Amino acid sequence: MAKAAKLAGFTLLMLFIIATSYLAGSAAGFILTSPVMAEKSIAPPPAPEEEFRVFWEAWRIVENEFYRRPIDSKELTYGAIRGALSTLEDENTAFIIPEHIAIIREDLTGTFEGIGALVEMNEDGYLVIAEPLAGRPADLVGLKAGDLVLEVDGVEIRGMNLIEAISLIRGPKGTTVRLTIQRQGVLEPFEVEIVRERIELRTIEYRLLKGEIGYIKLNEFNSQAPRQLRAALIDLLAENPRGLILDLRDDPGGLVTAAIDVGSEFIAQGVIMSERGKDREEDHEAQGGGLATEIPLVVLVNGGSASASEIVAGAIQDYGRGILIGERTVGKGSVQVQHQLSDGSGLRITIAHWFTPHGRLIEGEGLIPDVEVYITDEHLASGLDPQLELAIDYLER
Amino acid sequence: MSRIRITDKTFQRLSLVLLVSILAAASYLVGFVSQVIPTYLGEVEESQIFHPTAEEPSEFAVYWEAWNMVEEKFYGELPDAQTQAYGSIRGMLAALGDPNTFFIEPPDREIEEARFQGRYGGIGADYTMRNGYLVVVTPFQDSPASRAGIRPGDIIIAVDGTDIFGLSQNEGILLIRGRVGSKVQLTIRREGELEPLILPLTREEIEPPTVTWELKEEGIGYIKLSFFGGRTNGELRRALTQLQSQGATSLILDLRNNPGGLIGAAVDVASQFIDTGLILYQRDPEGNDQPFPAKKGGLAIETPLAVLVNEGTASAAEIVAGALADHKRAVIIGEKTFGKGSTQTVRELSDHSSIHVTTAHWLTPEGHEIEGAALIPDLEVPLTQEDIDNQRDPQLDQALAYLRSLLPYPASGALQSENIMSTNRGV
Repeated sequence: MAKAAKLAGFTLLMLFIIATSYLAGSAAGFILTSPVMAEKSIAPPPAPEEEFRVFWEAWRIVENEFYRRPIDSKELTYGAIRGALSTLEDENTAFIIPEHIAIIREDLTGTFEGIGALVEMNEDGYLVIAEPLAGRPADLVGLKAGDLVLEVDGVEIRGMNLIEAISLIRGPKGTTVRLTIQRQGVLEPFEVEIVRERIELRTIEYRLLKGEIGYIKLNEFNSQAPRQLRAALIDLLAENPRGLILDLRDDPGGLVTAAIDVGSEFIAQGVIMSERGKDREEDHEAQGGGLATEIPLVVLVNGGSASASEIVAGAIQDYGRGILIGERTVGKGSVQVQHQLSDGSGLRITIAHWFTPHGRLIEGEGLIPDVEVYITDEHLASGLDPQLELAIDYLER
Repeated sequence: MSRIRITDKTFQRLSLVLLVSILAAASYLVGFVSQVIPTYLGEVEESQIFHPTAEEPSEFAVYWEAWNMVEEKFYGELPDAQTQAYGSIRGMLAALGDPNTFFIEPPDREIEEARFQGRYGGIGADYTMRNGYLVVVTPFQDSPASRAGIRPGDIIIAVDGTDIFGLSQNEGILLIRGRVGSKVQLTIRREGELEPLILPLTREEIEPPTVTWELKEEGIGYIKLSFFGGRTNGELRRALTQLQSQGATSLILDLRNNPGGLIGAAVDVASQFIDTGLILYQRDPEGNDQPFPAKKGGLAIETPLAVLVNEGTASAAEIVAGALADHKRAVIIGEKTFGKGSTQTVRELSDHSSIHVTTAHWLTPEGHEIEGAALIPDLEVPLTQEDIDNQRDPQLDQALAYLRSLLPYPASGALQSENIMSTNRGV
């Protein structure tokens, strides 16, 4: 970890994920464990490239001639940064406006203040309640899965991106947010007022199945995940189960450090993942002292398992430590670091690819499960989970 | 700290200030030209010379902070400086949230200029892109293309032996264009021909016609304006004179699929039909409205008039239709228009790239914004796919029927059907 330590200080090594569903406000998206600090000194800009002169020509023309005034230099600057980053042709390298930094930070800690619902953006650009968390404010005022959020405090949501919408819904606990909701079967949109509370994401859910199989579902790799997993393992192993099922389905990932910690509970020793970046290579080794390094293990994965999930599942597969059941994973094989810039905005940059212990690069490929089992619409409709059932069968044999 | 050295000279080279309108693909007639054709509204003006300060705005420091980090840490290939600059310009312009403000790299600019000037060395045809090849849509009359027997639907597979598969439409067109008098050899695949045809042509100066006309039937003249260019008004006046000499006592002005053009041409064209009053207002960034009055000397200020519009009718064409509607000078027939009512200035940058900047919005004489608000015809007549397949034009038929009904009262000036005029008007 020596090299990684050099990067620290104002940066934090992390993985990002393609988020499918965010928790009210938030997210399983990208995650950040501790506040990152702004760089103190700004390096002087490099000598002006002749080629960049046209940028300033364009800038002055906009300032002088664009029909709408006033022109906001900060907005233009942010636009220029986005435009420059787009030339890298890497969807994981992105600019983050200051308002979104806090959201990402909260997501990494697994707690935030909001209404307690999973939300997502549908294809038509509407914000949809994916799931109101049971017993939390959104649920208590009667929001239902499938409700469209048209407005937040009178501000129209359509056309915003997910994080922008989330930033409006979240807010300090005790304050009230007014949502305008369109519900299927109800003619007119209606308004609900919701008092925000502190919401803790369920990072982990676990239970004993059939009295002999430990089941652990990890929802994301935030900073809480390793500690909560350890607690779950202690509870479950006390029951002397025949085997464990680690459910990483729809887990979009999170922090690299959490991935190594989680992997180390199941893998006694060896490399869990290797990073190769510009002028740097780094092996992340199992830390030793894992609680579940011997017990029969099945990992459930699907097309929503990404980044940190793939690190853990990939290592378990390479070492033959357990079998993977389910569907091909996302294939997110790059590592990002997030920086805070001096004006409070942020920048996440792809700094490396990562490889499984046997040297596989899964970028764009994903992991192919040892046993592929698909969940059909019919299964969903009748509440069946053939992937989980097969995992149980396997461990019972 | 003189990081920016934008010299006066840089901007003295910017000899063009064009007012431009852009229209998207969908609006082209009958499934053909899928190219976005930039069109110009306005005249060439003296460019103003900038005296920019030498300092970057303080807000911009974060850009270099971000880019320095990218250069230091990014795992992957870094773009060259020009790509970075162009990307930054695109992003900056995107932040304005105006779809009509955008950046164009130098090669495309050449085509734009040719279009604006209306003169380039070419073979005289319009093209579209299909399956990676250029397909001829229309060979212009009396052009090298038509004289060589090139037909609509011919597929151009190579230019001077260079396979054009994989090139963009603009790149392909640039290969065909060249110096007036120079030779170009096209390899063409034609339906029904087993072997490709190889045709040698000599490039000529091409002036795409913008006005076509014919006497549709006794007393009714038909004029189609495809674009508002520098020569459009002259072509229109010639058309009006000829049609009147052929006995036309009423007129159909077809503005369907007309993406616009020069604002001056719009004023001139409208002035052929409107005697006095305003053609449009132009609203500048400070909210001032500059009126553009009709010019005297119109050739058809009293001739009964039907105007055909559709969703491909945009910008300058909407100004003309809107002015005629506000003056109750014509009955508007067809489908709602595009709703593009803003002025763009085209500014050339020192490396011959350019940006289009929205500098003003237009309003009709009655003060209706055109931008984002389509003009609704007096008589809405849809054109269905079935009509197109059967080569029917119910919009034109409606116009003919309307004008025929006026024929017993020819050339009286005022339109008879006040009730028609008052229905469904809106911008």
